[in-house]
Amino acid sequence: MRTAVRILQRVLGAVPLLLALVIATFVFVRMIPGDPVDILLGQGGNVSAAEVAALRQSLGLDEPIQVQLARFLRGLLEGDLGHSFWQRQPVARLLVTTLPATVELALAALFFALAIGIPVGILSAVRPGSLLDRLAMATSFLGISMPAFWAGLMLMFLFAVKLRWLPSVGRLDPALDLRPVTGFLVLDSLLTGNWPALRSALSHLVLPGLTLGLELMAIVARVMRSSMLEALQQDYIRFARAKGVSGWSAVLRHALPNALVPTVTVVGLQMGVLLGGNMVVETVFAWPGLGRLVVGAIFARDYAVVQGAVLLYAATFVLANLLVDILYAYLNPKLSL
Amino acid sequence: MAARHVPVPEAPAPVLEVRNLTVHLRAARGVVRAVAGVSLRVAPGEVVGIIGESGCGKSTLLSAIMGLLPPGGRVAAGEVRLAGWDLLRLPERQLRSIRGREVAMIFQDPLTALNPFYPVGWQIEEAMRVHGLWPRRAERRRRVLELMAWVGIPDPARRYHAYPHELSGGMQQRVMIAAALANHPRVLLADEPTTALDATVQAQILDLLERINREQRTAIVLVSHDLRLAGQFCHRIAVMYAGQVVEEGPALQVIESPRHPYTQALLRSLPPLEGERRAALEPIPGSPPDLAAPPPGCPFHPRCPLATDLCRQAAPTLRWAGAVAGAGRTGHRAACHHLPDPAEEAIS
Repeated sequence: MRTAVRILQRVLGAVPLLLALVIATFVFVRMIPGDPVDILLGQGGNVSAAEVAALRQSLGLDEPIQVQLARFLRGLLEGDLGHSFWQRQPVARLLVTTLPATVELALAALFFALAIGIPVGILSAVRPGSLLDRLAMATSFLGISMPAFWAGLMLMFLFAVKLRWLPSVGRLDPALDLRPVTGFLVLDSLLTGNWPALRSALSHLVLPGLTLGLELMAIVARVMRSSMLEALQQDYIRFARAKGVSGWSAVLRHALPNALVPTVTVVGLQMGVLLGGNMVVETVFAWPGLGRLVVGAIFARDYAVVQGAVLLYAATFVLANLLVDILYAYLNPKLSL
Repeated sequence: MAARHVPVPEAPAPVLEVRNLTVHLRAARGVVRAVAGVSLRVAPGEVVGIIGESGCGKSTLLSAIMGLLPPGGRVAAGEVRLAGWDLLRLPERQLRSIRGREVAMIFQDPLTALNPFYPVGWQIEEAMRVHGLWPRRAERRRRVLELMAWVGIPDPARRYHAYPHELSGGMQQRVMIAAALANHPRVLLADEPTTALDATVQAQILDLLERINREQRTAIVLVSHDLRLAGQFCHRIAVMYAGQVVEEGPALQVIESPRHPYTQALLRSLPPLEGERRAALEPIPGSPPDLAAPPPGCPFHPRCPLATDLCRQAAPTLRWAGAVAGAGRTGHRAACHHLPDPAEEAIS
């Protein structure tokens, strides 16, 4: 019960932060050079000044910025994020249709990062200086320093073009028909029992998920290695061994939970990058997610979409951090929320 | 009547016997001979103290007995026998079934030795679970609570779920002792078990160890830097210096008539007891030798007031000392060139 109250406090405490962020975005996005009306009407030049003025007025862009902001904030209170004048749809609907794709991709990236990064970090720490350790650390250095667009193209070239093991772009084989339920294709295909779609959705997630997760994987492997090395030197490991606990059990049951704490911190900080830093990966893999939507919206000076997307990014970031803190309190009994 | 030729009655078979153990540790400055030819016999139910300054190899000796030397540590020579097992030649699997069951160990700082992630009851129960003597969970749980009560933890049912940081230092140490006793070990190795505790708690923990020895007949090897504490608590004492045993014997004899100049200096370096006629504590001049490059001859000669050319050249071996010459566990021995000839002493 107390925990629930604390969690609620944390969520409400994030509201002023989100508000400040929304206002800043609102102002800054209008400072980007380029007029949305010009972009909408095209550079043709055979448009009269009266038509330009009429469009500007219909979009509400002729009013002073504080009036526009007030209208936007009033809309927010009613749950209205505005209207995209580029896509001619409510912003909320655009976000709801693209967010699941982005979250699904981020979760796939997180899965690869943890499923590969953690075991590699553990094995490196158990045998420091071994061939495996040196190989892993050299590879992880590569993983951190390789730009995502290049890594993505290389993976695509190797596994999609040359070996033809995996699909290159999109979320699903276009020939397949999947009834949408949640927008998460893996979940939807499970819910509707559509096994070919599940197969296709999973295989489409591999390459972009790996690309997006590559950096985090490398970071996790390194952090895991160093915190594991430290945990393995603690007295509680010696005491566990003195009780008769086997070497691997000491590593996995005694050292691992303690070594996970720094890893959880790093992953929490990087969750924002996974969710919000995937414009490049979504563009390379033609992934119909939030990142690609935002890139398009920025080029179109579609203020409402950019504002809504930033708000959504920030809210997910706050939520991800809250999850990390809850996990933290579980891993470290000395802390409470 | 001189007693020097009287054969000492056959000592009982030792439960733990260390023979000529040498341990090398790899350090930044090269290979360090942390333990250099140490022999030790512990009879069933006996309490043996190992005394020395930090860095003299006493903790390394315990780790070697447990087969848990740190990375870079290696037994270069010698033998460790525990109730018939040749520990250094056992495969790891079998050694694991002995650790925590036949021989257990407790550490200096209970807070760092207990895992912060698990409740203390779980950590005691784990010692039972891994050895499988009580396969049923409910029975293990019951035994854990009994054991917690026996070592003096009030309200064990509630404390079972406490995390180490929620307990006081003394309670933490009791938890560690309970985990060590979980399988009724024959030998308990205690590495400075009271150093991290305040004085009143120290006395309580020593009382507990004494009760363990008395009621469970568990032999205890107590490693400490405190010669006086060991004198009160142990049946026998071995004084270590630079990886070697320089003096050993019945606790009272070692404390009251120390034979080795190092033991004598150690006693003088303690604050005087009430009524003792001595000005103040006298520190031992110099510092312990660098074990990566130990001095030739007697390791103590650079700090010894009695050192002669012989001490600088030849290393002394343990010889009988004291008025009653004997053998085995009743004997008092020291490794010094300047011991009075026991024959002469006995006659005079």
